[in-house]
Amino acid sequence: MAGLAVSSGPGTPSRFLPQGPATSCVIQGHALGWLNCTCNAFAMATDQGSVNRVRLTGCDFRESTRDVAGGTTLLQNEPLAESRGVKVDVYVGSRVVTPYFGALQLQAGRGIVVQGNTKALLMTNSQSTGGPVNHAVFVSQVKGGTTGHPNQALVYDPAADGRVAGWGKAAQGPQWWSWGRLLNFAAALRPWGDGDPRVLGPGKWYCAIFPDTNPHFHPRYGGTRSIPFPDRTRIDRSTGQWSYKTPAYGVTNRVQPKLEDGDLFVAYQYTIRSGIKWAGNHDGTRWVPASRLSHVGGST
Amino acid sequence: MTDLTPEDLELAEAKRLAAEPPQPIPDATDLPDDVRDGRAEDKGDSPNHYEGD
Repeated sequence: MAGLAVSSGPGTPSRFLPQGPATSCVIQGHALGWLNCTCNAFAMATDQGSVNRVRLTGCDFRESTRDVAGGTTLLQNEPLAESRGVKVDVYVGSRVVTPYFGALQLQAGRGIVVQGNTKALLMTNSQSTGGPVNHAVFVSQVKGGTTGHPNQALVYDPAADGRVAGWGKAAQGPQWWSWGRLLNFAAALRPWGDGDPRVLGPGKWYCAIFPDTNPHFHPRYGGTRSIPFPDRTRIDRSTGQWSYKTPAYGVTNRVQPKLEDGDLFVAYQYTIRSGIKWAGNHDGTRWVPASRLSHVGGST
Repeated sequence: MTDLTPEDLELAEAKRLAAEPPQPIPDATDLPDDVRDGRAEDKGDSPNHYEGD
């Protein structure tokens, strides 16, 4: 069964970050809040992509661009996330990807910042702007449908702050969109700017794809999912040094380093072989007898 | 024994396919790299929106 991935579901940002009001981000006298959709989308994506380790604001991203004129681009926001250890794959221009590719990444557990145009949202329950305008949202996860073709997407739209405006009430906070609505949003993007009538059209996404935060494992030796998942254990202090072995009893994997007392061992799976309970890592290449671990089923 | 569900198998398939590099899109060659967020006046509402764009 090696190679199959078993998951417990993707993570989410620790907080929703609305971009408004304009004064939410003032740099060099410029009130930039309503121009920070990509910045705020990146902040939420980085939060999720780091499993809530890196919590930046949209204004942090804006400041990192050293640009106070108009909106920002995906490429301008990428370096700050990368500098904090969050890998981002940006697809723009001739490197845009298909929605099918984006759907697979989302289904695999990666979050995506997608650029589009809010024309597709006007007069819907996802409307967050007064008029049609280029915009960016963070897509945290998807559900339903089939591989490459989800039914719904959980969208964090930075402009969806619930404000009451002349045109009505904005959507508020994270919202499940139909997959079709997300496709329409992305296809309505005006790559040459709001003032140019040319639209991107279907079949292409300007997007930034963040790390897989969907905990999963590849079962080997009949391993079953740990509880909790994953299970953060420690090498028991009474053990001394311990080489990784495999559930094929007594076979030492000589290329693996020895474990020291107190070392962290993150178990994703357990199996019982020859009466011995074994704890395995994410891909089943490292195994330790559970009797040599402490904090099993608890937290470190 | 493993407890693989249909959802587990779908995830495995998505992860396998997602690991493959994206295919180039032929009619994308002339697209610009730098696409910015749009006009502020079409997003925020007075008195909070930024008029400088």
